[in-house]
Amino acid sequence: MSALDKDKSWLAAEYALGVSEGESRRRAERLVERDIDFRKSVDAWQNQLSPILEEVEAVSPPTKVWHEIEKSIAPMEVNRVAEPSDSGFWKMITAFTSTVAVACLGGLLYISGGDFTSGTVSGLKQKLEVSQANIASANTAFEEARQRSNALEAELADAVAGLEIAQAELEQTTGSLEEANLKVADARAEVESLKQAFQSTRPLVASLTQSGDAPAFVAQYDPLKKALLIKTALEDTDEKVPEIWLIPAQGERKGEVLSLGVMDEKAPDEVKITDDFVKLIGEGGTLAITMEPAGGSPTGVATGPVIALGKLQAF
Amino acid sequence: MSNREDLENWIARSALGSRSDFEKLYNATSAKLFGICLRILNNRSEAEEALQETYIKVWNSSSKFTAGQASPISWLAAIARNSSIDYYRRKKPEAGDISEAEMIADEAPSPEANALLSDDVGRLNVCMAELDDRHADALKNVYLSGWTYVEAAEKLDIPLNTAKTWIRRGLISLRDCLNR
Repeated sequence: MSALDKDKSWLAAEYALGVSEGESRRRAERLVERDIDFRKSVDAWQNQLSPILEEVEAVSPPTKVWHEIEKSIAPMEVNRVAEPSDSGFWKMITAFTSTVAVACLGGLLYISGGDFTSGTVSGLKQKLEVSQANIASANTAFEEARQRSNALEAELADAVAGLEIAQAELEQTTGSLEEANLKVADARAEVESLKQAFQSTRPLVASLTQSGDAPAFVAQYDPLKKALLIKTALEDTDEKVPEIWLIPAQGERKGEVLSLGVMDEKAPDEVKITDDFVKLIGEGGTLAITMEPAGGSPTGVATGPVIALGKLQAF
Repeated sequence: MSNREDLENWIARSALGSRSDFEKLYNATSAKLFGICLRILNNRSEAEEALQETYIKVWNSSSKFTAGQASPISWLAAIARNSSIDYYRRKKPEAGDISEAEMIADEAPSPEANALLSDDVGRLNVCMAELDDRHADALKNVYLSGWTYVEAAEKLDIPLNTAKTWIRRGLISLRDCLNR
């Protein structure tokens, strides 16, 4: 048996003692499996230390432990190639080992347990060991594959369930999104109509001048009375009357010159605004006054000269 | 009372798949092994689990046991101790590896050419008695309870380096004594 290097020697001692942990411990576990010299060193230490266990009190374990163990060990009654008569077969094996042991005490080269001089016995034992190992590892591999398959099946089920939930959520969200869009549209429409309503109820004023002179007219739009009040300093002339025109700044009839009516004896200060025009009167709209024959423009459009012009502003 | 030969036979037959021999092995050794697990884990249900793991390992590795090399009881005890230590260490986060920096100038003990040494309790006691009390004590505790160096330092209330020194010196002295 070759000598272990110092590092491995301590590793073997500490592993047998139980102090090694973490990476060292794992290394020792691997070496025990693969390195025959390391294993022998560990065994030697274990043999030396195990008498310490003498003082450990024996405690009978509950019977359920045995039942669990029984369940866990794979039932395999391997056919014995050589049926031992009594335990004669095994007595032969142990007899050999005792012989080997005696030889060792003399300080001779150590012979491993499997190295019997009798060919048949060692060959047989080895074959049995190999088949035992093969069966054990085949069982393990099968069990592992089965467990992996089960785990994958479970994962797949989870993923499908997750997908279904996600789809449902998406549908819900999409539904809500459409709803939300509708609500927004409704709200916008309401705002628009409110805006219009608001605008049409705002009192407005206009200073109507002609080319920078002092205002000749001051107009006030009263949305509650739906009337345009016009104060004028204009002298009445014989046959002409002032007609009031509106040019809206926004809306459907933006830019059009619309007649709001005339100011005559019947309505010296005020021009009543019909409902149609109430909608159209708004901030920024232009008021214009032209002199028309009595009764207003015969053609519907302004014929006389524009004597005053002004923009409506919020009061 | 089962002797070494009985144990060896039962182990060998378990290797061939004989459940009845395995049961005999269990009946003969489980109380001692359970005691060992309890000593390390200090918890009954955990010890029961470790014991279960132990015997499953024994069954699965019975073909690896080579009569004449390790004594059967120390082989069984080692599996029980390792299972319990593994179980115990799995529960708690590892302290991390202690670097193998040189603390002792001593040479590592030379590996034993004659691996076969009897589990002679008397001889061990004699040798343990020769050790410095503190070394012997530390060694015994570590072995029986499955402590790490860090735990030994904590429980014996000594610095880590001291724990390591005591235990290693203890191991060296023990081996020297047993080899005489």
